[in-house]
Amino acid sequence: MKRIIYTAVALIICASVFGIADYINAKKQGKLVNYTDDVQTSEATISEKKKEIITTGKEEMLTVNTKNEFKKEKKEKKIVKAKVKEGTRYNEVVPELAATEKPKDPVIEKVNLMDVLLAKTIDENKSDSIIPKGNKRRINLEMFSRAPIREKRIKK
Amino acid sequence: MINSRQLTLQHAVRYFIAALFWIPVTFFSLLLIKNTIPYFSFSQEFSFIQERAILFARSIYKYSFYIHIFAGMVCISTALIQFSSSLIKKRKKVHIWSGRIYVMVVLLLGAPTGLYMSFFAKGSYWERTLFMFMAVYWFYTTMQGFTAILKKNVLAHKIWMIRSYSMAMTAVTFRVYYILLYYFGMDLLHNYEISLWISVLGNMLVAEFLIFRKSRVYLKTFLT
Repeated sequence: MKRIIYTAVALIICASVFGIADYINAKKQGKLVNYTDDVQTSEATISEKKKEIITTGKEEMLTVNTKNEFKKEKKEKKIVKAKVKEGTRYNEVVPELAATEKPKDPVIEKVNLMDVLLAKTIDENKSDSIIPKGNKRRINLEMFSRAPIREKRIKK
Repeated sequence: MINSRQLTLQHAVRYFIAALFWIPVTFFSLLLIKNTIPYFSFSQEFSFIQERAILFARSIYKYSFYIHIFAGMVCISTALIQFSSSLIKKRKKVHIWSGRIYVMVVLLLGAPTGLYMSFFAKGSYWERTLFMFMAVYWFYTTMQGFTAILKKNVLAHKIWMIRSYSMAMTAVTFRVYYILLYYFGMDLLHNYEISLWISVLGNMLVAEFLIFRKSRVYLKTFLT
């Protein structure tokens, strides 16, 4: 029985030594992630994704015609304006569009796949603390795990 | 002088209070075990793993994590039957063997891996220090409980094992507070830190209260 205790003490000492050594190394290399800082977390995830892409060699360039996007945007703006006029609840959320605002000329630009990916990642890792008002929080049994809670709301 | 009716009433109240304590404890413990099982698919899709992608790239951290959650599952499940007085009286061997499993798993797997992972825990330095304290305290109390029973000191064994179990249960109570505070609208980062502190300190206080209430010779532990 004493052997078990000695082994356990040795293991706990090893764990603390390895922990301190790895912590110092990670800190020196700047790899240490502070999860309370959303920017740092998303950066960390991004760098991992970057690595994956480089290793698989699937880095591609995407050409996106912003002309179509521009048309879509214009359509959406019209719809929003109509809703604002009706005096719906969107009044608070959507700012009224300036009548004099002229749309810029559409430009054809090259978009890097990496940028698209980064934008998506940042969006995925959006701060959980941004909470839309007027919605109720939902809880379920699956939350009772190690996973961090993600915002899921029920509309009133 | 207490008559038989009063005695029955006292027993009923005692059972009711015990049920009030053990039913939620058992339910949440089993729920935690159930929600931990999917991690053994070793998939990287879990948000907990994705959040710590850099750490999981290191094999030592990855293995520590899987060992730790396995140890946690075993500890929580074996500890559930440890405090049943009827089991201790009628099936002493079950108590002894599940106790041995609990002690081995905590001392050799749960606490060392927990201590290693605590260096990279979520939160500020204070939260990391708290995780380190939890791992060391869990280890120390379990070891004390184990050595006490080897010396046939049942009272000290009971007391140290209550303390050890209170630390094992922080995994459960933390999630209860976390979900409750989430429901009441607290923002998640503060919620995480507050739930962690409440769960550790709260469990320690509850353990000390139970020890103090149950044992008239509480002060004897200082002599062991």
